[in-house]
Amino acid sequence: MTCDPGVIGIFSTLDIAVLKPTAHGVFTVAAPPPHWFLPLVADPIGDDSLVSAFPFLDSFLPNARDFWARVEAGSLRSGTWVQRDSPDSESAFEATALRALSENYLLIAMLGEEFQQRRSALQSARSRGLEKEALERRNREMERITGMTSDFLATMSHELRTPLNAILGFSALLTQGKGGALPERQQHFAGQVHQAASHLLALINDLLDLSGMEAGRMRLHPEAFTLGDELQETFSTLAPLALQRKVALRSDAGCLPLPIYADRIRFRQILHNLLSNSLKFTPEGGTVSVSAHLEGPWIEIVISDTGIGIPEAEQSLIFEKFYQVPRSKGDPLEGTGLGLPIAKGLVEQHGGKMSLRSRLGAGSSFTFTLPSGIFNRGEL
Amino acid sequence: MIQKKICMVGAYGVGKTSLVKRFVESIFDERYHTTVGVKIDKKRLQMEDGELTLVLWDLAGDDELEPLRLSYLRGASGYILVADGCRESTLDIAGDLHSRIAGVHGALPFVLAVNKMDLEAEWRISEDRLARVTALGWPLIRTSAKTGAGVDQTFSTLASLLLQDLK
Repeated sequence: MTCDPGVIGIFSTLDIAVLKPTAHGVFTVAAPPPHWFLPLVADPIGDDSLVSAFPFLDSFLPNARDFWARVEAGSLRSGTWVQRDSPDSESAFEATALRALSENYLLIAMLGEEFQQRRSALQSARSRGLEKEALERRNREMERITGMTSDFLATMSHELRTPLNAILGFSALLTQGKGGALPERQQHFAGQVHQAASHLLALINDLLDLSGMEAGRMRLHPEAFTLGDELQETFSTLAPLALQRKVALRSDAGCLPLPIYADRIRFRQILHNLLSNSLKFTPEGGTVSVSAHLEGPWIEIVISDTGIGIPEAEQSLIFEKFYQVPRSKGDPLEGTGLGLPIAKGLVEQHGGKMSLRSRLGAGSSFTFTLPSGIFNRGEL
Repeated sequence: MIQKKICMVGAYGVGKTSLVKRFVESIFDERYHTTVGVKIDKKRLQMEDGELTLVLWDLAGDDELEPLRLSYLRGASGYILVADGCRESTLDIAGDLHSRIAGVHGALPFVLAVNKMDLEAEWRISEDRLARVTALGWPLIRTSAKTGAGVDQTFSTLASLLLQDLK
């Protein structure tokens, strides 16, 4: 192999193999080659030995020859290729066809840091792209499943409610003796049927509400009213439960005239769910109380009880669907685990927030906000 | 001994490098390693008519950051189009690449590998769509670089097509 002294000075400091094509189809080494080059390439250096060492050159050498024939001066880069140099390692290379001072050169460079940086940048960009696509796929799938679940629940709930209303209606008639007097024992049975059907209807209504909220199908009809308007109504509905539990239901008199701008029926549902929940978990002799105050454009309502409290580990789960705080054995009060998630969902549908503060053995406070209607009526 | 250059082409992240790694080294790496430029490997196959060496050119995934250089297919005897069953757009890209390659290099033998069969439950390319591709006469093989399913079959199918071309 011979070196061209004219270019030694230029290339000797670079980690590049500099080859010069001769008229006989072989290449001469035009500058001292880097240490990795000569062990790879058989002498004399022709197309076959180059392609055997660097298979990529099979497609680049014809391009290089075409370039040398066409161009007075300039360079043509091959693009990067990576090849295995041992079973466990690989190297990246790039070739350049160079035409300068009426001479042709083939440069072969082993790529180092610059290649790693480029690979790193591409890796990050493409990984982000793949993650984004995967996330979009997951979201679409979740939306599809949520939609299907909601549709299924809505359809099923409707199909269940129709016969259930018949059961409720006729069992009520039987209980009231409208179809003829029944023996006391049978009247009691009819009452049990009516009670169980009522519970089932409440559960189905809860499921419908949840599916409606999840599917974004719930429509609110906000109107202006006072807290007192709805609190009194809800208190009277829950009075039998409070009486049965021997728990006092109280409200702060000062909060009754405070204004609310919300869907009245949904607000009643929020109150009912929270108050009945507190009543269920407050032992005999305890108190469930309601207080409220205005906080900017919001009314903040607090429902506190002197109940058993919620263990800290359970507090993050309390608003999960179907979650129920473990009860003592033999506790007759039943629940669906839907009351609190629905209440929270309804508050959020109004743009408000709900939070919980509780200490085991020292009771719980549920705080939620709703628009007061004083400033932001147009936003609902 | 016959030596043939074949190219792996397709969108990025479809598993071209993983298919080659599974075929050549019988291993699979869960992590994604993007290919820059071209990665070249070799594999010897024992065919009925003798030994065949496949020189595998694993071309970087085609995207706006690094568009496929069609000149890399110069001298190729055939190619494997790779799509990801979980990403429908990758089948569109495979179709587009096929047209571009045929436009520059003429009709070459090829096989379509629809990869990631191990995630078949998450596939987004419908059976209808795959049936339409098959109806076009495209040799289609479902593969999983992870489990190895369909991998050898893909390369041997292409190798057989290359040898048919020789006869």
